[in-house]
Amino acid sequence: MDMARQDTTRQDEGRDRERSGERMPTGVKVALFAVLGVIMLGALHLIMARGPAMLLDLAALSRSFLCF
Amino acid sequence: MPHSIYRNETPFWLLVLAAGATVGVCFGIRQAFGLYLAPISADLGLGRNAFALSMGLMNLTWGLAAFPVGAIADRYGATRVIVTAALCYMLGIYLMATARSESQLVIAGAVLGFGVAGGSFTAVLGAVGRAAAPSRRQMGITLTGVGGSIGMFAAMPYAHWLIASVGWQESLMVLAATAGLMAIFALAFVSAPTAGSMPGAQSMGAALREAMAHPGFVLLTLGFFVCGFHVAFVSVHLPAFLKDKAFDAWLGAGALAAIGLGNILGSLLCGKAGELIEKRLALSLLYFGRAILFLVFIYMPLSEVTVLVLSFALGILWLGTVPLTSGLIMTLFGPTWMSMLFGITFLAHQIGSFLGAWLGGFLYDVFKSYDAMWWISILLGIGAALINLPIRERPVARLSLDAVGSGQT
Repeated sequence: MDMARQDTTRQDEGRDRERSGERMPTGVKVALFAVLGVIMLGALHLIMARGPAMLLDLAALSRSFLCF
Repeated sequence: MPHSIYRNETPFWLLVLAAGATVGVCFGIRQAFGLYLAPISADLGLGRNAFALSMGLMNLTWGLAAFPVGAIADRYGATRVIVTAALCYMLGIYLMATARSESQLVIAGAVLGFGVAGGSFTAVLGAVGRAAAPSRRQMGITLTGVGGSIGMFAAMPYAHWLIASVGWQESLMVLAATAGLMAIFALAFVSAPTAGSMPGAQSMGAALREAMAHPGFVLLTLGFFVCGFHVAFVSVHLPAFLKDKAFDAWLGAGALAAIGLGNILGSLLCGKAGELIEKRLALSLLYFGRAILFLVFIYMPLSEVTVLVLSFALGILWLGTVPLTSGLIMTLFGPTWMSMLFGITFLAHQIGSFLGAWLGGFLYDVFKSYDAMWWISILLGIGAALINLPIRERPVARLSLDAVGSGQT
């Protein structure tokens, strides 16, 4: 009973945060994850498809890769 | 209950999304520049040094500009800074695409440096921190960092595909247009609070004096120097180290790609760790973890699989320093001059980067081995782990008095 009440309270807090603009609306969150998923899968696909060509290019220029 | 102690009309989630996207685009494009070394050098008939000089100048300008750019972003708002950065970025990329000589490439590098300085962490972290309620600051900073990590990983293969599809000059024009997106993202920061809009805010000079006199800030900056040293050494010399171990050339780049992938997860995990335990402890563990991994690189029998696994593990400890270091600065001094103070620590990071890249090559030439450099990196890692421990992770007295004065606790 107490646990059910706690869950309800948490859900209410979540909805309050969403309404106050603190938390991202669920629809936007789903869309964002979908876009990021497509971008990341595309990047992974390109890395695999272009394989050694890109990796060798990267090896040649590692001087600037990830060096921030 | 307001979501922030300041009035801010943009929803906080949108602000964080815009911050992450800005940093992602900024870092992503910057990472992709490396792919242009070969085609630009070949097409223009220049030695590779010309392009390397241009990129070196970009990094130098970025480091030197971080402090003033951060101060301007804090005082006048991130929007102006990011829009200016986007314009610099577009101009720099255009100059690079149309360059015909070494001097034009070098000028492009300097202009690009201002673009990267304004579009990267420095400007946006302060804006996110000031807009967030104290309990949400670390999360906001962490997600901004994750955006940067995703950009760093994902942009490179797309740029490589673009170069192959449309040629290097046209692909640079696409990158310039992409950089323009930063100006659109910057609109999210229009109503974000600034140091100038906060009543009774500390002056810039007072903030600088306070930070410079704070032992914790000095120790944190020294630790971030070590971060730059490690990151640059590994980025620049890991492929050569693996080649010396008789691995195929692709494994070096594969290891760097594994670091990039691990970095996305690491940014999230390290930022989260900063919410669960004291950030100084998380930083200490992170630097210590790096030292252990370096030790493993030296002594463990390496195979292709172990190299990739170790690299992924190293990636988890890669840029997790950013949310932790910036979060700790915000804990100590508050968010008012956050971008400016982070700009100072970032300059130390870039100096460390330069030394890590240069010393690795110098010591290799002397000893014909990377062993000395690995050991220096291990000792620096242990040193950074130790110097983060004595940092007193509590707000300066001024913030406590402000909180009491404004009725907050």
